[in-house]
Amino acid sequence: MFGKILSGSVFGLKPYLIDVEVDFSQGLPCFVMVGSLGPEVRESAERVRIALKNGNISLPAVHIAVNLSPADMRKTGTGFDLPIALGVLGVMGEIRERAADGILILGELGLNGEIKPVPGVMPIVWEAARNGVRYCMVPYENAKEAAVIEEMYVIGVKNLKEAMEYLNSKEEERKSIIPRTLPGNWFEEKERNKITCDFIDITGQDALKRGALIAAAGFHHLLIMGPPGTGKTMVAKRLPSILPPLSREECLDVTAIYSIAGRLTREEPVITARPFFNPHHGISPAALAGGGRIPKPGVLSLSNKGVLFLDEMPEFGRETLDMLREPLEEKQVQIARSYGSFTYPADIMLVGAMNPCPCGYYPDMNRCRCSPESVKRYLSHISGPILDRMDLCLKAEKLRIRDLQKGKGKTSSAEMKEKVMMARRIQEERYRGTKYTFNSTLDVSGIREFCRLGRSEEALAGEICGKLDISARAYHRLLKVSRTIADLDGAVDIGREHILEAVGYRPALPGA
Amino acid sequence: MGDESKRCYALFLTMLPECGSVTIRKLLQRYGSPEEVYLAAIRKEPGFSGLLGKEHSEKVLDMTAGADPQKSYEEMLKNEITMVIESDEIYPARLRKMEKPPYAIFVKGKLPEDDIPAVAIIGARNCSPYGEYTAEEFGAYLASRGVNIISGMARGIDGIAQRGALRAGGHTYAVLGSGADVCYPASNRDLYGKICREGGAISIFPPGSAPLARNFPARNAIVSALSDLILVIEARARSGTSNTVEHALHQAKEVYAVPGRITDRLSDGCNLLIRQGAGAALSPEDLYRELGVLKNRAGGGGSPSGNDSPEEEKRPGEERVTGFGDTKKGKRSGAKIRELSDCVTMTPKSAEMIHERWKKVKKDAVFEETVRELVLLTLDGRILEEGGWYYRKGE
Repeated sequence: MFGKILSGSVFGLKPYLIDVEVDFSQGLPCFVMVGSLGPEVRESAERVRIALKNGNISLPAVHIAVNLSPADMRKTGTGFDLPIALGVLGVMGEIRERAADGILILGELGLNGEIKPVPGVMPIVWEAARNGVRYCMVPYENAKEAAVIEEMYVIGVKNLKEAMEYLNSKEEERKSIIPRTLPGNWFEEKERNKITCDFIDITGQDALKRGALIAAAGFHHLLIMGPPGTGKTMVAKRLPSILPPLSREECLDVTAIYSIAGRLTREEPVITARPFFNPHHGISPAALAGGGRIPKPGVLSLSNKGVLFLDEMPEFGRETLDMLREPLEEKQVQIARSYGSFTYPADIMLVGAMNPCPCGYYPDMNRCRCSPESVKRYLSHISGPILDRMDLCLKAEKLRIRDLQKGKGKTSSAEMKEKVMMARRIQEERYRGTKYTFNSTLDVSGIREFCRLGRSEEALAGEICGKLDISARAYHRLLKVSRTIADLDGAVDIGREHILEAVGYRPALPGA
Repeated sequence: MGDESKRCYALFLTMLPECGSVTIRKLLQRYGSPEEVYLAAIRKEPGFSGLLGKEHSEKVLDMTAGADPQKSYEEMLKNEITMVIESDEIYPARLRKMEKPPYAIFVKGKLPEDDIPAVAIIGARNCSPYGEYTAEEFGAYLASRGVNIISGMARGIDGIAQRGALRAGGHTYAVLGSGADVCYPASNRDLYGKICREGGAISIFPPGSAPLARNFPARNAIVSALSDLILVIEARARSGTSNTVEHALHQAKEVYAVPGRITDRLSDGCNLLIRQGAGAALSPEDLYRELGVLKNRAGGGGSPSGNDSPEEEKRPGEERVTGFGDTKKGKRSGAKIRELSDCVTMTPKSAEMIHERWKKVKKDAVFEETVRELVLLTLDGRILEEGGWYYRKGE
């Protein structure tokens, strides 16, 4: 007596499908589960037994064996409860034969038979869809999330009884028992243009706004430096409001990570806005990069395609900042474990804010009370690992109260976003058919191809490098930023004015 | 600290091995008063090793065991040395402004008055006749006008300037790298005696301290802190003088240097300072006028000659030029801003701040244009840039 149900799980960030095989045989009555199970999976047997009992179904006194195949892959999560229960019911004959064929089933069981949401539904459903599965039964709470995969017929179930009823009814009646959960209109423009923080709230600060505009248009890393209370954080928080929207594919990628991290809700089952994270400086390296025996995605991966904002950057632990090096370069995080290494996406826009010295007032010697050594020590956290990888560095200044009282700023997020979108379209056009997306993603050969300079510009760049002591790495970053400034200008070629402006934003530290 | 008999414990604190003002404050915070610290050390409280580390605390406790604060204090008084603690009213106001004011200073003689302008005259130990001449001239002239001359009583410029001051009947104060009762170098014994009578020998090290090399950077910081203006007479490109100048810049003191011939290695340091934006001290009179401007601008009392200073313009507080002296400030700030480069001053400013100023003149100025212009000016060498801040060397 043998039955099989299709289910799935995630390993790290990778979804895969799993067959839940159930067999009844003669022997001592017991419930045995095999197939490299994590502790929470092994406990499943107890939940299933009690949920069935409370549904007035008692297990027969036989040797029940459950195998999760492929058996060599480590299984985690509680999503196997429902498929195991339905598999057992199938072998018992409580569910008619072949009723669950071709349906992906996921869900955790409560002892009273209710079905509870589980993380990672969306990527598993997506994986199933890629493998030709067209139906899925998932917890009601996760139904909307699963329905993001439009080709999937999603059945959201609330309890075990409902699931049995659905499976036992005829094909044509099924719809009346549980209607299909339809894909939402998540990708429509109107839904996505909600602006919560607007740049219009910021008075003055032309430098920061210009920097934010360029950073957003080319997805460049941005470092904001200035004394305390100058609106560094305000600007960073408003960045998402002018970033180009996520493409459909990007939405799905981001949503998959959020699903695995258990961060989706029924109200917001899809992530359509670019993520924005501002972890506290006490964050551990593991929380940033991802960690655990089977690593959970960290803040870096959750910020994928969005903004990671580090306020008071030098306060972050040295180890934490060092961690950022490779991800900023490779746009992914590598986490090594004895049984293999995990690669998580980390395509982020890093925005850092910091004071120029411990007291914050350098180079205003009337107010700065720091000794040269303490300034050096303070900046040493940033100078090596991070500064080299920043594209833009802006200096913020304190506003005079007089200017503040004048009220609102001149430029709104909507206006800025329009400019960003124009530059974005130019980039899309230019990089069609290449591996590049934003100007910031250009590598050396990309820079050679797309950031070509005319003779006069070449001469200017040469002069700049000679006079201002610019390294090769910094020069490449300079060209990428120039490219974005030219795009914002609508210019086909990078002009002298674009290079000059980019030089004005190049990352540099006092005394470094 | 009112109780006179308890003051010996404050002296005891400064005598602890390898304990600077920071450590002393730490101990005081932990145990309350100097006496409590002493008693705790006598009891060999385990808290010490937590606070200072094992090795250091062992040294401290060893020293405590053999110490007799009462006797040391009496000996100090017998040597006519006064101890001035941070909490005392007579503690110099200029020192209070330091990032880390010393916990106590020792004086043989007097302390410089807070409201009398003070100029530090410093320079090379091995100086040229030119240096000897100028040091004496500046020292004598300034002292005769009532300016206190501060220096380190070292061989060469320091001592010569102080001798000049005394010759003119003025006051001069020596900040020593040894205890206030130790005359170093011995060749200045006569000078030391006069200074103790006509001014004061000041030290942050307890009486009897030897002139160890490591004491001198801290000594230099005090020289600069006690002065309103630092005058470098003669110095090599890399020398002990630059340490004092560094302190001066960080304490936002004006720095002036006496220019020399470019072929003189002993003037390299001074010329370099001027090239970096220090004021050029062309004559004692000139410098004295500058000092007057300085005092007036700071609004401080005790101006030596506020009246004969050049025309003074009101300048907003943020405009006050510090760091390197700006000999033509009065003129510059009055000048009308016609082009962007006029918005760049000798104080480093960010592009944003320069842009804000520029906007006042050119209403429709756009930030990106300002940035471009600034970069161009930098490339042309008309202004300087460091770490994203723009400034200019004097006019």
